[in-house]
Amino acid sequence: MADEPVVAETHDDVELEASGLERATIGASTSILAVLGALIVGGVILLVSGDSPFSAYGAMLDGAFGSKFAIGETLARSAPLVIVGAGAAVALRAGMVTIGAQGQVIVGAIGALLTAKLFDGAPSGLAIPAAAIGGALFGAAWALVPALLRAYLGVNEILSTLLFTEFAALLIEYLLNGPLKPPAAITPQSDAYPDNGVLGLVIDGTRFHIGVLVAPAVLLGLWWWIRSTVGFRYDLYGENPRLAESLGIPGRRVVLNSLLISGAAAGVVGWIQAAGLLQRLYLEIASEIGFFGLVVAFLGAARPAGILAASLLFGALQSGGLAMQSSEGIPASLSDVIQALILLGFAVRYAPQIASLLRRAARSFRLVPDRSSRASGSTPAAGSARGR
Amino acid sequence: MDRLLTETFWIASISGGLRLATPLIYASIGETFSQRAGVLNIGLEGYMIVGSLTSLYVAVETGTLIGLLAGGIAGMLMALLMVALSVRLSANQVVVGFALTTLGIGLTGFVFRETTPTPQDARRVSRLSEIDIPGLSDVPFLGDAIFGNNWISWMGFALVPIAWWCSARTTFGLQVRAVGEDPDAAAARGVPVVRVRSLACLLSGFLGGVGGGALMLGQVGQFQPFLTANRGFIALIVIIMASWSVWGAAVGAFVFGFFEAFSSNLRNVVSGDVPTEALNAIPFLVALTILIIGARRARMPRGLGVNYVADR
Amino acid sequence: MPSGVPPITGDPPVLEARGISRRFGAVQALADVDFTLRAGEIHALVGENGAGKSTLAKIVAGVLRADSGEMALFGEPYAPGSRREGAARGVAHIRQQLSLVRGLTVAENLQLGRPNASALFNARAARAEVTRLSDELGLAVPAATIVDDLPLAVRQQAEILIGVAWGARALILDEPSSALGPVETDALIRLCQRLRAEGTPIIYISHRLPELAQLADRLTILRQGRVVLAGEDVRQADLARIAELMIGDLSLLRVERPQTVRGEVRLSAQGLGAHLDHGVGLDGVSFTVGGGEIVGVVGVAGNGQEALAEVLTGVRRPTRGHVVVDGVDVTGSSRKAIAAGMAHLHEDRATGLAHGFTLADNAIARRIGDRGFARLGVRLPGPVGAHVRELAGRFEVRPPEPSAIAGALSGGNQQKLMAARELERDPAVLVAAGPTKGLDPHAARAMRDRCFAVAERGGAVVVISADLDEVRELAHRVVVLSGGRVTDEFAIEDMTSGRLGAAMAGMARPRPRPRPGAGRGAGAGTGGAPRADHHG
Repeated sequence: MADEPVVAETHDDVELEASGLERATIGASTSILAVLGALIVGGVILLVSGDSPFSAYGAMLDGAFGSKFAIGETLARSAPLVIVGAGAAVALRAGMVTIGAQGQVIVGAIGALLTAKLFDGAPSGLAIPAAAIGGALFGAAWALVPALLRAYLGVNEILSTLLFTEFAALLIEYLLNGPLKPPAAITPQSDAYPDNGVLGLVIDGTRFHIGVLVAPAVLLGLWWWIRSTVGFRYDLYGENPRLAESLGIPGRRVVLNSLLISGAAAGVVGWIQAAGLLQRLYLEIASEIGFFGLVVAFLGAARPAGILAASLLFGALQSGGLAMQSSEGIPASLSDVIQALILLGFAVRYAPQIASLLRRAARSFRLVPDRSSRASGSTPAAGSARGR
Repeated sequence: MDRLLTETFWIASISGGLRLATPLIYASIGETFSQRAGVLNIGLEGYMIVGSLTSLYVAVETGTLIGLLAGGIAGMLMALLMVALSVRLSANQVVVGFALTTLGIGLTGFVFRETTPTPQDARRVSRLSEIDIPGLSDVPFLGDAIFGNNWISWMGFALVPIAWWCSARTTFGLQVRAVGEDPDAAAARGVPVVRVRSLACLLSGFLGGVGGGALMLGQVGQFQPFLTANRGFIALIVIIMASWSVWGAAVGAFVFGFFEAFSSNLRNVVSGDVPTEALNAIPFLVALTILIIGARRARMPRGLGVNYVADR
Repeated sequence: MPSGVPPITGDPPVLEARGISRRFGAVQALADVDFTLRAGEIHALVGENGAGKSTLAKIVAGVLRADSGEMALFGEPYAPGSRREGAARGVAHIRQQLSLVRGLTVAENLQLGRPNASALFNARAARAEVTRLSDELGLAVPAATIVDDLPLAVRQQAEILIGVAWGARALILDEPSSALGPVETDALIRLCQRLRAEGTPIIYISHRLPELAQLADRLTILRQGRVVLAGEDVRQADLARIAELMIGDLSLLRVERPQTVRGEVRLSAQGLGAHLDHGVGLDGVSFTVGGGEIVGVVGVAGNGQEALAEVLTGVRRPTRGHVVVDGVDVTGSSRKAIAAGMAHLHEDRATGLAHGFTLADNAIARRIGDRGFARLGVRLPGPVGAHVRELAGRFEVRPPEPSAIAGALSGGNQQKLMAARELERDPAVLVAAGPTKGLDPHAARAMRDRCFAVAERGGAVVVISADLDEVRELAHRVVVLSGGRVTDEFAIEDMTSGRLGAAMAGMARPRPRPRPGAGRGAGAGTGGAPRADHHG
């Protein structure tokens, strides 16, 4: 202890955080690298299995952006990711990783349908917001037990929310095979969603429905959250819980509320899926939205712009993947593989060793202004105070 | 309801429980080592599913043992990514773990669909026969309940004391615990932290893959997408309940397996009275209970999930 | 072998280092240092924080490599590439942050990293070896106890024992007494003398001169990386001159503690009890602190200090008792405590700051919702930035750059940043845990002055520390904590090592009633650190 602090002490010109421009340059270039890398590995997999990467990716691109329908499809797939991702971001920022969104989307959809049935015959102006609130409340309720367990007993939220997703899957299986199933139906499904609650299409001939427009509103909410004082307190708890508690921030309430907020966001997605996209409940109503919503929050560094970009990318990969499967006969699972590879690329990008390496590389290639020369008489070894 | 009390019901639940526990035993023992060394493999699910598909495809061409080993090696290759990105490059363990889960599920789904144009093309292996243990297998009740297992299960059970011995009685076991508890102090004592963590993580990949192989070759015999159905995550729960002991992990695996078998046997007994879904929820309710109890008493390795950066 | 300076014989010295230099970035930590350790001696290596003592120790142990220079061990070339290699050659290095793995037993630590250890671990044999050596060295180190559950002094003994078991031919002890009480320090000195008698030479790093006068044979002083006194015989040395050589700028040492003016009671701890899952909690702790008063809570590390800091600041709800600030009960609520004017300097800068946050966010964290810094629940970066710039200037945080990341600041500047956040407005009560721990003389002095300033403006200050020097420099009055109980309480002038030692060892003494203000004329410059005694 005796020597090091002093060594550091004399380095007042320690390595500062990268400037905004530097960060943006590196951020953008490494993101593109990560995506390209994932596509290349995906291409190799295609080659090995005897397919042409060019026709496969061509079909994907076409299916994601090639027509009015394709773009609508991409947007309709991106919006739920944005909303779930923004909710997961609030929890992530507060230091919690929840993978319960999958179940919360399912339960939110159930809640929206039940509320809509309650308001059957009411004016749309009442029925639609009521169903939205119903979905949000049901989603939050599904997060309540894991949140309480985490706040009061310290039960790992990754694993408890996973179990609640299993429960949700069993619940909807039960409902769609029994109580909610119309007599005539053969496969598990519910009655049609009440007409007065349906979210109409924004562009005819696509699946771009009104519910998609919830996504920008949610992003705006996250943008506000990050700048708000309450969001600051939650972030502080995520960064350093012990400090936060000593500054009078109630830890349990942060844990509870952030998990409930993420649950409510997922519940809202359940509502737009039920009222907009499918207009009926099916077993796969959540597809993999919950899981990839969390991934999108990771990729977007829990920030609005990042989440938007990652959601659009994943929405495009998913709609493109399905199109590729039907036109080229290549399994859509390839999209999952590429998404996983992108996540791996980003995980490495955020790794501290890589991050500082990239900064140094960017500096030596003069991509960004040379900071160390601006700092007060710094030496090239200044970084050693932190990196040695 | 009186059928609940029959001997065959309990024999089926216990023997089924042991069979269903086998993949979890393999996976949770390997992961116990890794977590004790401080490396959390959220991607265990991915190791298992890659192991299961690989073991099937290799076993069809060669034999069960080679198939099982191939499953382990496939799992280990997945874990190699974890080692490279998290243990070596300090990427966030949870994020890489999620990516590996997705990668495993996506990759196996892709390969399976590419190699299975029609359902008739699906590869299958037949179920392994039980090994009779002279004397023991003939004991009433216990003989059928406990001593009727195939060799993959027997090998899994035998692994438990071996793993305990490695952990408590070898220098490697000590090193594993040391780098998970206090990597800085361990490094100061001359323990090669990164190497020990890498080995433990690879072991988790290997045994996770073998666990997937055990699921495939010892139970299912045929692949379907997302075959593992969250068993990797169940193994993570079992480890918490076991408070990072290998014996506890084996017991936890059996408890979960038992309730899985119990609930599916119950279906035949109470058919019509209770929705199937409620019965299917039983093992997960048990897992939740286990998780809550475990969280109350668990003493987690202090360095778990925290990457070690040398020379700080 | 008799103690005292051994005769110079024809044998090569145990360790000989010539021309050792080492640089860290712009800092020359060691410049052309020569050092010799002879057989059978205790060689004290002294100097202020940052003088290069630990760097030299690390080079000898193999943790660091010298940029230039060479070493010989028993006459043979010696250039260890790692601590492990050093240990294999017989050099045991006992660090200040002990390197026993906390979750394992002593016997398991004996095996871990042992040179030429077998691949199998024989637990019984390892336990027997620990017990045997413990008996031989006159210690009481339990073999099968988890290191976490051992007191600090015993951990240190265990590490020395393991060094001996591994076949140490030379021992390096780096600041071994800095967190010990008088009783433990005496035991450590006896252990060192015993090891010397059995033929193990020791390099003993410290800055406590009285201790060294009692223990060491020879003495080498480092200042700013250079040897200023080499291998002087301690018995012939002039301690006052040594203190001067060590420090250079004596003004840094002069402690201008403000006069005690014990005003009305501002902080009152009433029968506090606390339970910790690991470690010692609190058992009926009561004391009061008046305005303008600095009370030092001392005790061997791990005797309830952690729990006390948490309970006083409201982070932890006590199982019984109350914390009252200016008549307001703030028990178990950090929010109420802050509202009542409580400030808290955390002992560990890792918990005291949000390392990933900017300097501005850290500085403003206490006041984030204040009018002027936020409107409609949204933070206003402009006013916050201006305020933080001013604050950083006032508290001398460098660089005063609001967008700098806190984790990238140096230790001293992190401490200043934490002070800026907590002491921006005069607090009613300051709870400071180890406020000068690990800081160089300049930064330590700045922190001391902050504490004094709080007292001078009528605040009540509690300094919780395991470092007796720190308490001596800061406090007017001392409360001794042992096993979670207050075992003694006295004015700083009444502090003798006998009384302190007994109290720290847990021997309670009938508590005198506090005498407000009376007879406590702790004037400037008196009662400073023992090292200051010789030039006062």
